[in-house]
Amino acid sequence: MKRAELAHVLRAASRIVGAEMLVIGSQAIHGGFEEDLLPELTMLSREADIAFFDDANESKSDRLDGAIGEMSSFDETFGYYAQGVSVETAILPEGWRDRVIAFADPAAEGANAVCLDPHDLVLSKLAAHREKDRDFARALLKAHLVDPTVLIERLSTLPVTGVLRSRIRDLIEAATDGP
Amino acid sequence: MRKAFDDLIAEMDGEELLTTGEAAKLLGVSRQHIVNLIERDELPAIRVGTHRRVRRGDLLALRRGSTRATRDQDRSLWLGTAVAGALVRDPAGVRRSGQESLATGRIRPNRWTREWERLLEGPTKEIIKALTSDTVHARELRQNSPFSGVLTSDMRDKVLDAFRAERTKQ
Repeated sequence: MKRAELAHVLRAASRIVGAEMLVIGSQAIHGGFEEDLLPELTMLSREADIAFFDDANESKSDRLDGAIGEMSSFDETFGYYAQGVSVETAILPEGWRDRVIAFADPAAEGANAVCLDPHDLVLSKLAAHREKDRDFARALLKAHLVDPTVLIERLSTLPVTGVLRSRIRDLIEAATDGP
Repeated sequence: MRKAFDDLIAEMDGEELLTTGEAAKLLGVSRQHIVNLIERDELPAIRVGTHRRVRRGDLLALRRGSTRATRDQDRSLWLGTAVAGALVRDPAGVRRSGQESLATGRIRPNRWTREWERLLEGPTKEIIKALTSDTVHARELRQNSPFSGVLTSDMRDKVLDAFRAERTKQ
């Protein structure tokens, strides 16, 4: 999803729900960088995963999804959409809430939205560990947009098994060593 | 089987390579299922000569929830199932709708849209599988679905209301 598309989704979402939003999927990368720095691979997703901090019964998430979610007329018109998700969807290192970045873009027209810090985003992807997640992490590492030292440091607080932690460390080191 | 799997976890050596048969035994599934997971990129494998091997760590990740559906993925499955309902009532019409969506260029091309193009040329039952299977692969396909024009707003709202009511009951 391109930056302008994310801004559009957040603008629309803000009018529907009106609460502070957390961009939690791969599109959160737009919070940390200008689009022309980003590898194309990191912007392939069609949906913007949006969570709400205070949404115990998931009513905000449902309202968002109902209005501009998958297979809505919004999706049909624009070819992208919002996906209401739970904050617990992502596995994140300690302290992530203190590091979120406001999505500052005039096209969002003041939508109250924050994005995961890029390093926390990469670690959440590596915790999911699907092939597309590993590709996403490698692309950002190879583009030198995230610092492997910071990733390794925060990895110790990521709530994953020891085996997965080792595999994540190996991936970070391999992506850093290569050409 | 559970004890064997717990022993596997306890040994904490993620680099041992398992045959597809050993992996199948530990997960309690058929060897063919393991092969299918590998071919759909849901379970990484490496080739040792002509044979495929699976890392214990990857098997652990698979077992421990990297494939477990989240609420939004379940919701997507319900919508996909509703589209499958429309498909079996009007296969030609729903196919056409999907093909037209892909042809407009509104959906940015990627590997999933290319797979939809192929599916829309093939047997209806493969489209049904993509819309209704609860696998990692099918979830990715649904998130890139070309069927946003198939369900009316009213039908879509009914599906989402029913999904919400069911989840609340649970």
